[in-house]
Amino acid sequence: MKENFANDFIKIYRTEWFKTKKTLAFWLIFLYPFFCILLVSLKFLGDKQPSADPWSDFITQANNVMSFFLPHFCILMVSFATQIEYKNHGWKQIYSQPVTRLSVFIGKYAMILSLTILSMIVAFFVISGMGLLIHLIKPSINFVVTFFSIEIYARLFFLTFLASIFIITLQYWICMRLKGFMPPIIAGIFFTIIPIAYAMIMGIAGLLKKSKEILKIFEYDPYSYPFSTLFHFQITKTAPTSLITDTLQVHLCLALCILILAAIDNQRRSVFA
Amino acid sequence: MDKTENVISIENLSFGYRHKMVLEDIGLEVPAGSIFGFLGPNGAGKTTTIKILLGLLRVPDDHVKLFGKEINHHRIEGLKLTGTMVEDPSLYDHLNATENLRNNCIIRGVDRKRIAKVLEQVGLTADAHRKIRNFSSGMKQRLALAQALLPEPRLLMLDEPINGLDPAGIIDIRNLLIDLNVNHGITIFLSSHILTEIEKLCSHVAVVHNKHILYQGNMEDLLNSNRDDIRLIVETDQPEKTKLLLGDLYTIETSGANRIIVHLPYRNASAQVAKILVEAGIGILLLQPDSHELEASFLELLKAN
Repeated sequence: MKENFANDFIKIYRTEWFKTKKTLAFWLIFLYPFFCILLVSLKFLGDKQPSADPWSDFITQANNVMSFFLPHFCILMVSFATQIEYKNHGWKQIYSQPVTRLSVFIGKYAMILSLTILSMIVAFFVISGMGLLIHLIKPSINFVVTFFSIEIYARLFFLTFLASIFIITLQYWICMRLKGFMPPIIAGIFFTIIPIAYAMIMGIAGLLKKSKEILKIFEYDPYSYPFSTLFHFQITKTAPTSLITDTLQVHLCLALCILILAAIDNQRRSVFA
Repeated sequence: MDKTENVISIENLSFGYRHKMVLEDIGLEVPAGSIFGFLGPNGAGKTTTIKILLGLLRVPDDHVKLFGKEINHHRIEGLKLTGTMVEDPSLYDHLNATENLRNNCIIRGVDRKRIAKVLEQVGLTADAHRKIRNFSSGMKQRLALAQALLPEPRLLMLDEPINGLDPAGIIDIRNLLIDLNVNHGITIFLSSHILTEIEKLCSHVAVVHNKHILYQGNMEDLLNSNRDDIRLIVETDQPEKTKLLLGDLYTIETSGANRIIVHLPYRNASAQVAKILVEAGIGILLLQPDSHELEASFLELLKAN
């Protein structure tokens, strides 16, 4: 049984990579870091006062911007990755293959997580390349004086990846359930903007005054958690000390519960599409 | 599997979507080695039945068997021996034909060398590297069939396989399916609403209508059953003499200058007609059953139910 699952999983995972090539989901892993890092690069080029530690600042700011756009990236990527099955009548073909249903479900999920990790790896190369390019354009920034800190990069981006897991998991279940491109995207954007709208309304009503109170609201919503780390950094001017915060642990546990429920749902439901 | 065994068997199965019943207490037996036509009007439940057989739609235990094994507990074993094509072709339009088949090779664990073979079988060798988005619907249909043939299945389950094909394509696919059945012993279960194709291709047939199976069995039996009147078209070099000869034995009517329609009491009586004409020294120009025999049987079945 375990062996069957492992074999089937490997087959599904391989086919997922095979068919994801040349799709929007695949191109997004390049576009997302490139776009975010380009924004940071423009800001760096515009800065009048050069940073004392340009690499760490560049990495941190790149991570901040990427964290800000992370929910949108996850929502779009999961939608693109699942949409190719709806668009090409693929679900009925996959589910009528002699492989376990669980392997189909987990195989695609693993591929989506892999794409997210890959986007972080792409970001590493884009940050390095852009840093050197900025140095060539504007030598006063002086990127060559300090070292690129792999540790800072790994720490921040690992945290960002963990923060994406809840969003990816819930979006994945929604996408498996809802046919069509727009409904999962609308659901995802709704979850992302709910705390912002709530904070605005409470702020206007005068019920929320302190920035720390606003931050708390963002932390409770896993969709806005990734950019709440950015808010935390900007408000306190210090990065979070603990790599995996209590909130993040709760989000990861919730993601696991959702994944299990979605897998059970996947085992039981009929495939209509 | 023994030739007399059933590859597919369904017993007392009912299925519905939400509050609408699609199939009610149906039974179906598809013998090994047959080309089994599953016939019915649009919305009769043909695709639903195929989806149930593939485990796409969930049904209670012990109603459906594939290769003699219960589908819910032995789905994977059954599907390993089955090639499928359900409704619209499942093809990734950003990939080319070879890549689509390669994708299936990975899941099925099939050697990549099979790709060239199946593309040749369906007549798509020249389009192997063309993107699916540039395929016509007929080409997509052929490629979907190639996908079904890839694992060298013992059972082919095809939902409306000739949809979208041009006349030449229909003949090619018909000949291919007959070859696969006769020379490779593949059982073929296909659904269609195109009666003439089912009549030309199938050895067995089931008619589904209004949630129920109205008929299942040999094609020959269906053509002979429910019919008081079997029509034979006859053209000879001596029409007047033919009318006199056959008019004494059968009910006849003329159609045009030389064509005679003979109403036969049973289907095999056409051999008797041929014998009479030959013995009378009449040259036979045309002797063929009315091509709408299945259509007539089908309509009578629907009318009777």
